[in-house]
Amino acid sequence: MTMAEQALLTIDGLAIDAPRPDGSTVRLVDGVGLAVAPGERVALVGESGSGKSVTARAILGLDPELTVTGSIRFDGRELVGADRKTLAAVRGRDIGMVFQDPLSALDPLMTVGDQIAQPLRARGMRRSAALAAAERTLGELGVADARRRMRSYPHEFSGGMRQRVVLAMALVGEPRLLIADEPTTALDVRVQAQVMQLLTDVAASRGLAVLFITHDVGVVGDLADRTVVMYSGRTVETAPVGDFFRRPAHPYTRGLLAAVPRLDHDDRLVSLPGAPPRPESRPVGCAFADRCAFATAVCRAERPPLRPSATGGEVACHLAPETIGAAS
Amino acid sequence: MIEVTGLTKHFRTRGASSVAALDGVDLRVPDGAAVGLVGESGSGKSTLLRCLMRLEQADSGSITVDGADVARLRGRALAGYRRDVQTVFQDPMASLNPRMTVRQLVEEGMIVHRRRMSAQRRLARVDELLERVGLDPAHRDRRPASFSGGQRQRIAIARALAVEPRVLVCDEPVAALDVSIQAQVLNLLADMNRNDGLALLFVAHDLAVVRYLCDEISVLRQGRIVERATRDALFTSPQADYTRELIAAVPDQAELRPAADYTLTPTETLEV
Repeated sequence: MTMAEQALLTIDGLAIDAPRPDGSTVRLVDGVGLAVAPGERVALVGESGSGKSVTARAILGLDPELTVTGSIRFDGRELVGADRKTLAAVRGRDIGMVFQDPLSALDPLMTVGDQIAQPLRARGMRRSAALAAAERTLGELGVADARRRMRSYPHEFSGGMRQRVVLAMALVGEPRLLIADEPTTALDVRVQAQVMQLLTDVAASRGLAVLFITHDVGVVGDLADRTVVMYSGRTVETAPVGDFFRRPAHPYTRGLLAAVPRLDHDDRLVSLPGAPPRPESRPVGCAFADRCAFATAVCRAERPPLRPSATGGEVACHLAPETIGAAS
Repeated sequence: MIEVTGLTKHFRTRGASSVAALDGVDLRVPDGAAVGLVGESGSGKSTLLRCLMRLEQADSGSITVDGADVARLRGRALAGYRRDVQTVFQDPMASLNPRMTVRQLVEEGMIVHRRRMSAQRRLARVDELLERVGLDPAHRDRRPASFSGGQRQRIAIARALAVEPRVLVCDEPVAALDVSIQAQVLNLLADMNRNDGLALLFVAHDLAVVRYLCDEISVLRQGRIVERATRDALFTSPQADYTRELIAAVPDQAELRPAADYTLTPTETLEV
């Protein structure tokens, strides 16, 4: 499998179980596979409860109370079951991460400059050198007058500026992979567009690989080279971004795209009936079968494996694409 | 019809200064219309809605309903206004009492507004409303926690409709919902406006969502309406720089429509 050989990050057969108060467990992630090549920008798309965030957090081992099985390999190193020392070496150095809410990621009592410098200080860099690197990174992220702003505190910054600070913290250690979990969701529309542009520019100029987690299919087109769609804890489709929009293979992907209001047409929105199954009551067959207009007996009885699709990606559907359209 | 004229509201800040949350806002919601209000955080949209709901008193300007000053309504006239203007909020989990059943939530307004109605009639009406918003009446004895976000928002809409309002004020009603579920709510609101003549005042930050529902759109920025236009005019020839910035910030999807063969057919059977 050439993809896996070249990949910077490879996730294979990932399952994540959460403990419940009664001692049993519930399977949040039930078979996720994805790969990110060096310099590639991959969007991981899913709705709430799809398991996209918990998958991203598992890469860095951020939720020790969860049981992770399967494989997460970064640059040849296995991260599932890795000891704290290995994970600590990867965090912040090889892999940077930003989250949705910048304010909760920042210490209100520490200057912005010291916070950005923190990852470098933690590996023993001298304060002056770390601060210089922090200032460079902040400038790279389009913050005018970075030197002066380094002495500010988070509350003096707007939401968009705070997200730049958090990005700077993630990028100051020059990671090879950036994991961004809904980094623009809490921002106003115009600021969101600016941050997305910034992220795209920085990734391109640094040759940085990005795993971008989002529920918003609208922002995918601006950033991603490739899209991975998750549904109910499983990967249901992976596709180059053009095919994701133009030739979506999985019925869920099609439904997702048809449900988004757009500026370029007035068609009535397609509303998928019902809601995703809860993790504790995921059906035996395809998790999407109950909401799928095409579902047949085999869909309810057997779980569809992720297999190559006609469009150069992969799809987990018994029927797609042969039966449900694009017969030409 | 609701008419907001020159509405101004200042909030005191530290010291003697004050900030204008609303600065001379005019807005009309004619009977049966679908009016959109777009604004980012800090635009004053929440203050405007709070004034409309009489949770906040404006410093100057007026809100009238059919010519009567809302600020001066008392007694029966005020109760009538509160019945006529119902609100659906962003987060249905926060706005629905988790200890009440769906039936109790939906019939509460009917009881409060003393509709002369037997318990039996009321129950029949609850079932009718649940069906209207696409929920199974058999689920009337469940509580909000056992529904998805989209279903909860439909419970909130059924609750608002129970008192037969003339205007539904929607404050970011789909912002907290997942994409595949927000379409259920948007289509329901569109149908109620177009088929049942329910007027909508729809407040949201998402331009595409507002465009989907509204005939006329006002853009609110820092307490002022910077542009008001029909839906088509706003998107084809925006006048204010700020409106142009907002439209430019919408991710470009023009070339990203699924090819005809790849759309989700048969769509008709998928409608809720």
